[in-house]
Order: sequence, then structure tokens, then C-alpha cells
Amino acid sequence: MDDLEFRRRLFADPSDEQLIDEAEQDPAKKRLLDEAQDFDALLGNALNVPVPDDLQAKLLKNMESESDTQSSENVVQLSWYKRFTVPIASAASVALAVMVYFSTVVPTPLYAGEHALEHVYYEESALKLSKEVTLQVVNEKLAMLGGKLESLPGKVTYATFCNFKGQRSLHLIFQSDHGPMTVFIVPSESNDYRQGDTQFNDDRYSGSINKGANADTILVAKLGAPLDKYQGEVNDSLRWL
Amino acid sequence: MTQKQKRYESLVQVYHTELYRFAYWLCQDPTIAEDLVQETFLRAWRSLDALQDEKAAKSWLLTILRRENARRFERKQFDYADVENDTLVDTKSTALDDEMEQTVVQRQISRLAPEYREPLLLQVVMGCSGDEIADILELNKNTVMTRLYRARNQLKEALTNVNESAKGASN
Repeated sequence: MDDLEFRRRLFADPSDEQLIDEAEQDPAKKRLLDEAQDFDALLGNALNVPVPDDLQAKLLKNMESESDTQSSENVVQLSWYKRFTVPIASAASVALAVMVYFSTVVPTPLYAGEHALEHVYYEESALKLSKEVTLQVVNEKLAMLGGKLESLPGKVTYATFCNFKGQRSLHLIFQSDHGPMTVFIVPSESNDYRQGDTQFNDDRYSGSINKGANADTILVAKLGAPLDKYQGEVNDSLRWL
Repeated sequence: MTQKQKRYESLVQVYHTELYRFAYWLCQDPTIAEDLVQETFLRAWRSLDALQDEKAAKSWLLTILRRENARRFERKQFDYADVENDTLVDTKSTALDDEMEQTVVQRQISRLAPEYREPLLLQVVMGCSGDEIADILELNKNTVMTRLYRARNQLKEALTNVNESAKGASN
């Protein structure tokens, strides 16, 4: 390597291993090498400007606040359909269940009596309730179906809206002389459930259906209770707006 | 602390000093340099998953920082006029003590054309090899080595001239 080439490469990179090796053999080159390395040390010192003390802390803090916002940004950045994956799936399965329910239930004969009995068994624990529900509360609910009760032949212990074969209805229990008696007041907007006999029973309960112009009244009581009498009393006190 | 946070912290620890100095000499303004380094690490954090090999971290960070610096010029070209640089040497004492010498060297470095200064910064401040510099600056290695040679040569000449004029003035 001639002096010119050596010098060129030295000025390009004073720590070039090959040059350092070559300088070992040649005192003139060694002198050039030392000079170049001293010069680089001078440059290095000049370039080593002071770094702000708090820079490192700032950089770490930036990351922390960024990762805080990043996690919330990530939620926002999700595509709309991804955001709603779970609710849509739930909604779809509910919709499917409703479709299946109607496709299977609606065409089959609707035996109101059977349904009334099932309903009573399903909420059998309600029959044991003893706390009185005032007539006012009953009427507030009944008003939503457009009706009003003047009185009931017994203390009301249960009053709730329920679904009677897809029909929104009022489910009442009052304490008769013959034990707790269940009353379903089902507006006659839909005739779907109005199939089957008006009298029904199983080995524990008997029931009767009174078909009215505005609503049907379904009574369920223990076997042997005088249903006709109670049907009369309930329907006499029932007013429609 | 997550794995990602640990990686980030070690990157900050290892590179923030060198990157700040590189940024400082790139823009020659301590405030802008700090902004550049903060922005660089912020971007690095956001795309840290893209960094597969820790050995490539230095080049990766430098690439981000250089891009950020270029963006700054797209936004607004600050023209730090050479007024300061041109006047300082002549008004100072002619005695070249160590501190004075460093100031003179710094002034000459800042006067280097960017295409010579940048490879020199990468080599001396960042400790990059010729190949790494070629990679970062997207130049071929011969060009890089030539620019490094010229950068040192210009500095040497300029500093010799300063020394001689100083000596001449003191005579």
C-alpha cells in the first residue's frame, strides 16, 4: 500500500485494522496513524456535546403515557364489525331462537289450559307469597293493558306482567277461601292461544277460561274450587277503558 | 413491566446519548435535537414489534431519526444563518487553549457540508462501520469512504489555517 492510498484510507477510517497492522511495519506510517487517531480523539471530544440530564427520564415517561393512550386507541381503532362481534352474535342467536320458537310453536294447536297449568307450576313458589299487593298497584299494571279492577275476591299477593303464549298479560294471585288462586288477564289481541277447552285440569289444579271482548280471564285453582263463582266475581269487577 | 417495555428501556439506555449528539450535530440546535430524539423513540416504541433483530437497532433508530429530521425540513426550512459561525472566531482570543480549541473544532464541524458531516457523525459519534453508514445513507461504500476522507481532510486544513492565522496574529 503506497503512502497516498494509506493516507486516503486513514482519513476515511483511522481505526481500520488493516492500516493498524501495516503501520506496525513502517515508522512513517505509524506516525501518520497516531496523528490521525489523535485528530479523531479531538473530533470525538468536540462532538461529545452535553446531553440533557432529564432526557432519559423523558423518553421513558413518553413511552408510559403512550402505552396508556395506545390501549384506548386500540379499542377505537377496531373495525366497527369487530367491535360488535359479541353483541351481534348474541343478537343473531336470540333472533334465531325467536324464529325457531315461532316456527315450531305457532302452527301447533295452542292449548291455553295446558299453558296456564305449566305457568302455574313454573311460578309455583309465587303461590306461597303472603305479602299483600295493593289493588292500586295491580291497577297500575292493568291500566297498561287498558283494564281496571274494582275489587278482587281476596288479598292479592302477586301481580306481575308475564308472557302468556306470546301475549303480554297480567299474572295475579289472590288468596281465596279455597287457597291461592291464579288469574291470568290476557288481552284478546291475538287469538293464537284460544284453542282448546274452556275448562281444564290436571291431578292438582283445575282452571277455566272466560273469553271476553277485551281480554280473556283464566283462573287456576286447586281441584275442587268453585271456579265459576270466582270467574263471575272477577269479571264483574273488571272494567275496560 | 412487559417484554416490550423492557426492550424499549434498554434501547433508550444504550442509544439515547449517542442519538442526541447525532441529532444535535444534524440540526445544530439543542431544543430541536431533543425533540427529534423524543419523536424518534416514540415512533420506535409504536413500531417496536417491527424490530426483529436487536443488532439492527442502531441503524433502525438512526433511520427513524433521519426521517424525522427530513420531515422537519418539509414542514419548515429553518435557516440558521452562519452569522454566529462567521463572526465568533475573529472576536475570540488568539490563545488556543483546550476549551478554545474544542470550540474551534466544533465550529469547523458545523461548517462542513451536510453530505460530509453526516457520514463523519455516524462514524465518530455513533460508531458505525463503513458498511452501516452506506446502508443508512443509501450510498455505496466507496462514496461513503471518499466523503469520510474529504470530511477529515477539510477539517484538518481548516484547523491548520485557524492555527496558523492565530499564530500569525500573536506574532
